[in-house]
Amino acid sequence: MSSSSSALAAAGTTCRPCQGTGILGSPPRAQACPKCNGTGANQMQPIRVPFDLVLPNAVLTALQAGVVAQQQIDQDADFEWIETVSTQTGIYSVQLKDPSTGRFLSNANVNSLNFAGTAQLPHVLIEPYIWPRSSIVLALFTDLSNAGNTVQLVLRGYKLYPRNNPAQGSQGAILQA
Amino acid sequence: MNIWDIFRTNIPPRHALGVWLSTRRLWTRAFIPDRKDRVQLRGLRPFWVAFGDVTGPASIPASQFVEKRYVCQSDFIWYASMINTTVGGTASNPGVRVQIRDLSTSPGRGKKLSLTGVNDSNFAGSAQNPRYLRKPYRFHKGHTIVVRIQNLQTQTNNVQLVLEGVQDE
Repeated sequence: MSSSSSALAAAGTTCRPCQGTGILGSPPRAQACPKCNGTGANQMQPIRVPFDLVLPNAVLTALQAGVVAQQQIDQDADFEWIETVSTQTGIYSVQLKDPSTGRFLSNANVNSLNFAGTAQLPHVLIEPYIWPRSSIVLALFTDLSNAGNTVQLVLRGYKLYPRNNPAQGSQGAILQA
Repeated sequence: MNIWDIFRTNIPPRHALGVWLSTRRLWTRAFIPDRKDRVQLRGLRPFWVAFGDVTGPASIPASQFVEKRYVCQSDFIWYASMINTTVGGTASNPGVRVQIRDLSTSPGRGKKLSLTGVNDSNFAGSAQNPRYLRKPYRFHKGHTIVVRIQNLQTQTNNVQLVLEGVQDE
């Protein structure tokens, strides 16, 4: 096996539409293969393990603003966020921040009714967001209920373990099925 | 490839979010962006553009309107909308009427996304049941999103409209 084909085997199988070239068509109309994004190999799917990222309870007093709750993602795998749910004793607003990029995920606080659902009716992200391992999820809460408010915000999704190296960090090995 | 795009056979999934949706499973494909339209969203950062006050909803006096603006720092691809009002908000008793405009940086090239305001229950959903756009709409970098929210009630209404989408920066 040549070094290039062994590299392909390590990355995944050869992309069938472009037959490993990464290019479809011929110049001047050649374009990167949309199936493999021009890599020539099918991307191996990571092992997905369901995971709920629970932010620490935010305990708000009446109309209190800017209460920070943050949670670090485990070191063992990236986290793919696909759903948002929360429980609360009153209405609140929240703004999320990804400190690894320094960017907020909204231009202002988003009302809880517009941001998070419940386990029965979760709010689904059409495009999942991947939080890098060891990064921090930071949320800024503001109470809108004019009374004491205890909020638990949960980002639901999957941990992504690389298929070719599923045992990551010190959290224990993830066995392939 | 993200979780919504995976299928293990040659048969495409019947609906884009698959069986993960808690409701509306069978007819989901009719109203959320299809696989081809979702390609442009891949790998981008989710972003919520909230039209209200800094800490939450905007307070609109009886029968008055407010106009809120947001200047896109980079391309913003809008795919879902949510709204909540403290008064009204049902089909039989709408709370507010909403009109969105996409103001271009070139004079005269802005777009109204509706001729007149649209009642809130016809325009947006909630976090639990959002209204998805079948085709995501791209607000280009530098464009201004202008939202006019008209209170239809005879008392003060606290309103927040949220456009959900992705941003590429």
